[in-house]
Formats: sequence, structure tokens, C-alpha cells
Amino acid sequence: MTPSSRRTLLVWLALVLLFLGAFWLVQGEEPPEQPWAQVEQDIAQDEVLGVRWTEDMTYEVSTRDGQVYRSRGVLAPEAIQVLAERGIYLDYDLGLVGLAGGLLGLLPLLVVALVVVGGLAWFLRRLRAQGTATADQMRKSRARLLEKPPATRFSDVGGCDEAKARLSDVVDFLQHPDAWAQAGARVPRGILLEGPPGSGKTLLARAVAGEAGVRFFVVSGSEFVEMFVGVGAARVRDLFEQASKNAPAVIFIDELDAIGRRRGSGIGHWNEEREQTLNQILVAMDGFEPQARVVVIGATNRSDILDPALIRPGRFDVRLRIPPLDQAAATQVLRIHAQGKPLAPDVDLAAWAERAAGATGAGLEQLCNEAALLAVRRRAERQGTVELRAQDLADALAALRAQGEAFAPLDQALVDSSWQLSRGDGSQQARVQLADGTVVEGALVWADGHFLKLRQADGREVAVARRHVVRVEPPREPA
Amino acid sequence: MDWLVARLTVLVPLWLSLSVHEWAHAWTANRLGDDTARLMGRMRVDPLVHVDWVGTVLLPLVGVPIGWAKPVPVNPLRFRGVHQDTGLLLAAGAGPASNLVLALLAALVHRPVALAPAHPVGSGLLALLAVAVPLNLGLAAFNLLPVPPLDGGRIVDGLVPYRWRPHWARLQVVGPFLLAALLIGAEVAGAGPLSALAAASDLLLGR
Repeated sequence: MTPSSRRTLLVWLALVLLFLGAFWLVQGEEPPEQPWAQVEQDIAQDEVLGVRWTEDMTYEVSTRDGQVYRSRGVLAPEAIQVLAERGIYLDYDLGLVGLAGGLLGLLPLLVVALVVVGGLAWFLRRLRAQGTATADQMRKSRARLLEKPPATRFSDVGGCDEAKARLSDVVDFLQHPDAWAQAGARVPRGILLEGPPGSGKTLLARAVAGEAGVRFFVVSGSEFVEMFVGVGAARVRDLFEQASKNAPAVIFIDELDAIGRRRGSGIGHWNEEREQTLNQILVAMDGFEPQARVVVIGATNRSDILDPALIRPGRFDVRLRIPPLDQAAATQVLRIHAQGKPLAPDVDLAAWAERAAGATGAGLEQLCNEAALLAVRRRAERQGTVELRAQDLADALAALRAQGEAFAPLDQALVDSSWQLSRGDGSQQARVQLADGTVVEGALVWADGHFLKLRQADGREVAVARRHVVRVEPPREPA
Repeated sequence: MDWLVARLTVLVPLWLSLSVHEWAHAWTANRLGDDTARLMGRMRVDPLVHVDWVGTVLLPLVGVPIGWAKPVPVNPLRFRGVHQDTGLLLAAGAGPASNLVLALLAALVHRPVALAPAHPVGSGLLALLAVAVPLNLGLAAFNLLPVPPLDGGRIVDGLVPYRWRPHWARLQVVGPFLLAALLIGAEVAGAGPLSALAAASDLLLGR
């Protein structure tokens, strides 16, 4: 027997025993029941000592021989008359009498009323709460406040030495505002980070908060844009209020161009709404007291379209361009990401930084991670050792490069997806040579700026990415 | 305290019957493919897993003539091999059906045992059965009322033609209040059906 079914049995037993106990208690009080004829007979024979009315149609009768019994029936007026002549009057037992009894009698009705009224009130409140709650929540900034200052440090950021140098001023200001105030220096309040996607803007902002040990608010510019007018501005106010409350703090507004776009371009209220939001940001940034230890860091990869008012002195007046990684910086980034990964001795990170030239910080991170994944997958063929070898990095790099391309040189999926493009003409025969040395021959059924499609002699169709094509020529005549 | 003790003699059979009632919902749903209730541990006749401390214990103790247990969740999307509406109908109908079966079983046992010579434990159990018969008949009848939060309402869910569903759905919102009104007016509105019920239980108990 499982414990749960044993418990079920025990609960049933306990409840049945509870019933039996209650039943015996009630039974002990209640005199035995007799048919109504007994009552009539006892009255006729003058055996009755007293009659007590207990409830509707039920009487308790005590007799001269000391017995008490209960009976159900209607006591006729004649019988009451007979009893009255003998000095026996009906004894009314109303159970609980008096105030307490009256209240207890009302209790059931009261409980029902309470349940109904309470249910109704709860129902209405829920209806109303639904309405207001959403409106209130709309106005709340969606910025995420990190519970603790981030653990990121400048040492976690590879390259960007110039930016780091400027930002360490900000860190110093957040930590020692008094020194700056003494010198009478106006501290940069807003910093605009510009750089291509994945170049480490977010990481840098996080590192500023981490170095200074202050709270970090992250919000994306697009989060201010909403369907409802005024919500964006309300969210800006809420965000800056929260930041002042948690000062010292760093507010990071990602994708600033979503709201900071040059005003006066575009049509309709859509634009007006964004303008309001932008105005609010401008006012909020002006409104900081000089001592307020709140720094706003904005990030964009399209600084050219930002509103001039946003980058005037006193607002985002420090513009830091994050340059593409040079080799030294790339090596540094690779070193950071290779940390904690078991590197084989044949891996020269500086050389790999050169091979991956042009990659952003995020790209290098992906490369390291991809290579580590490969190393784990290949541990079986390497007798269980998990280490990052040059081979893993090479394959990872190739895989990432391939991902960036629209399609592989020979692509069956493309054939399948482009069947409707077939002209079915095929009068032109071609011989296509690919960069990797493959040669494909067949009837040319499709050609455009992106790919060629050939039907081979055996009827199979092959698509060829144009960029991999080295040469297209007429087929060689069979000798 | 006498009244409390007297109410216990109603509370206990009610609690046990409601446990079987809820178990029947869970069991039927499980047979139809929805194991939600089983996974929640509700497919048991354990009174403690179905208890709603207000609806099952408090209200009967203070003498309110209604009671309910924690409803067993039924997810019609998990039904297999049966139309969702049909499944809901079966799962909802299983509760009242179980009460009818309980009433019949109690009556079947009660009849021969009532003829046997009285014994203290026997007479107590006999009384339990005697309470259980009208109680279960009442539970079945009450739950079959076609008012939304009751099983009868959910049976109607499955039967309402699509054309009428919007109206039915609107009615469901006020269902609890409809039910409350029904209960307050029960003594007047229910006089006929109630006496029919009493007659039925007397018949079953052989009175």
C-alpha cells in the first residue's frame, strides 16, 4: 500500500470515527422515537407528565413511569385542551433562546450574505484594477536595474584604449565627485559611444559602472517608443527619477538613434511622439544638479542621424568613437575570450588576430566560443582531452565565414527553393568553374546577379553561387 | 456546543461524498486522456486533497446549506479520441453521477443492515448511511443545476449550440450571483423539487 493511499484510508477512518462520536453524543441526548399513536394513547390513559415542543411536528413526551420519548405528529387542539385541564401546558423548547440564540440563528444567512457581497466586491475590484494597472505600468520605465554594480571591469574590454582613458575620468568622477567640484570642473554628463555593431559599446558602459562600483540601468531607445502618446516621455521621467534615487548610477541607453533621431524630419504624430520623448531626455539631462552623480551613456551605430541638440555641450558632449580593432587590440580581445579555455600550445593568438582581421569584439568572442564547442565535440577522437587546437579555430573561422554568405557554392536547397525560376529553356550549354576547383557542366536554365542554375546531363539540377564562379565558358566539344 | 456536534453528523458525510465527487471528475478526465488532475494528485478519494476549508468545512459547520470542494482542473485540450465538448460533458457529469451511485450504494447497504439487531457501532454506521442517501441525492441534483460554476453549467457548456454560445458566455459571468440568488430563494423556489428529493430518499431508505 502506497503512503498516499494509506493516508486516504486513515483520513476516511478518522472522519467516520468523528461521525460516530458526534452521532453518539447527539443520540445520547435524544430520547427514543415512538409512533404518534403512543402519544394519543398516553394522553387518553392520563400517563403524560409533560409535553415539550422541540421542532416542527416533533414533541418530547415524559410519562408517569419516568420514560421520555419523542414522536412526530400533530397535537390536536382537543388534546391540548385535555392536557391543559390536567394542568399540563406545552413547553416550548426553542433551542437557543435570547440574544445569542437569535444571532446564531442569523449566522447562516449572514455568512451567505457576506460571501455574496464579498464576491461582488472582489469581482468589481478586479475589473477596475485591470484598467488602472495597465495604464500605470505603461508609464513605468522598462529600464532594468541591475541588483548590484556589474562585475565587468576595464580589463575585460580589449582594445578601445582611447575610450577607456576618457571613461576612467568618468569613473573617477563617480567615485570622488568632491575633487572634481573643488577644481570647479564641469564633468561630462553624457557620453555618446559610436561604433559598428558588436564593437563593445555595451561592454564599455557596463565596465564604467563596474569600475566605479555604482548601479547600472540598461534601457533600449526603442523601449521609449510606444503606441500611446506621452508614454515615452513619462518613461524618461520615470527612468531619470529612479536613477537619481539610486545615485551614484550609470544610465545606459542603447540604440539611442531610435529616439534621438534628428527632429523635424518625417511626417505625422508618430514623429511628434518621438520628439516629445527626445525633449524629455534633453530636459532631464539638463535638470541634473551639478552634484548629482548620474552619468548617461548613449550608444549608437548611426551618429550621423542624431539630433544636433542631443550632442551639444552639456548633453552628450563627449563622443567616443570605437574604432575597428587593430591587430594589437584584437589579440587582446582574443586573449580575454580565451581565458579559462584550455589552449593547445600550437595556438598563437596574435597570428589568429591577424587572420580574423576586420572582426568585431563580438565576432572574436563568437569565434572563441565556436572553437571551444568544436573542441568539446572532438574530445572523443582526441582520447578524452579537451583543448582548443589551431584546427578548431580554423574550422570555427571557416564555419563563421560560411554563415555570413548567402549560400554554399553548390546548394541543393537553393535548387529546391528556386524551381519556379526555371525557364526550362536550357538551350545554352555552359561549363562553370568554381573557386575551389569544382567544374559543373550542363544546360543553363537560370542566371541572375546571384546565382546560376544548371541542369546536368543526368537531369540533376545544380545551383551555383555567382561569387564563387571563376569562369563560365561553353562546354568543351567531346574529342 | 450541541449544535456543533449535530452539524458534524452532516459535515462528515458531506466531506466524504464531495471527495468521491471530485475524484470522479479526475478519474473520468484521466480516462479521456487529460492527466492534469492525476498529476496534481487529485485522482484520489483522500478528503484532504479536495478540501476547501471554507466551502467544505466552515460553511457546513455554521449551518449554511451550501458547500463545495476545491474544483478539479480539467483541460479539454488534452482529451484524446473524444470531442472536447463531449469530454467536458462526461468529465463534468461524472461528479453528480458518482453521487447518484453513492446514494444507491448507501441505500443498498442500509436496507438489509437496518433489519439486523441494533449494535452501537452498527447503528452509528447505519445513521451515516441514512444521512448519506438524501445528502448524495441532493448533491447530485444541486450540481446538475444548469448554472455556470456548477457541474450542470459545464454540461450545458458542451450542449449549447454554437449560435447561442455568446449569450451563454455572457450568462456565465453572472453565474455565481445567479447561484447565490437561487440559494437565498431556495426555500421558496425549491419547495417542490426538495420534497420530491425527500420522497426519493425515503423511498430508497424504505421508510
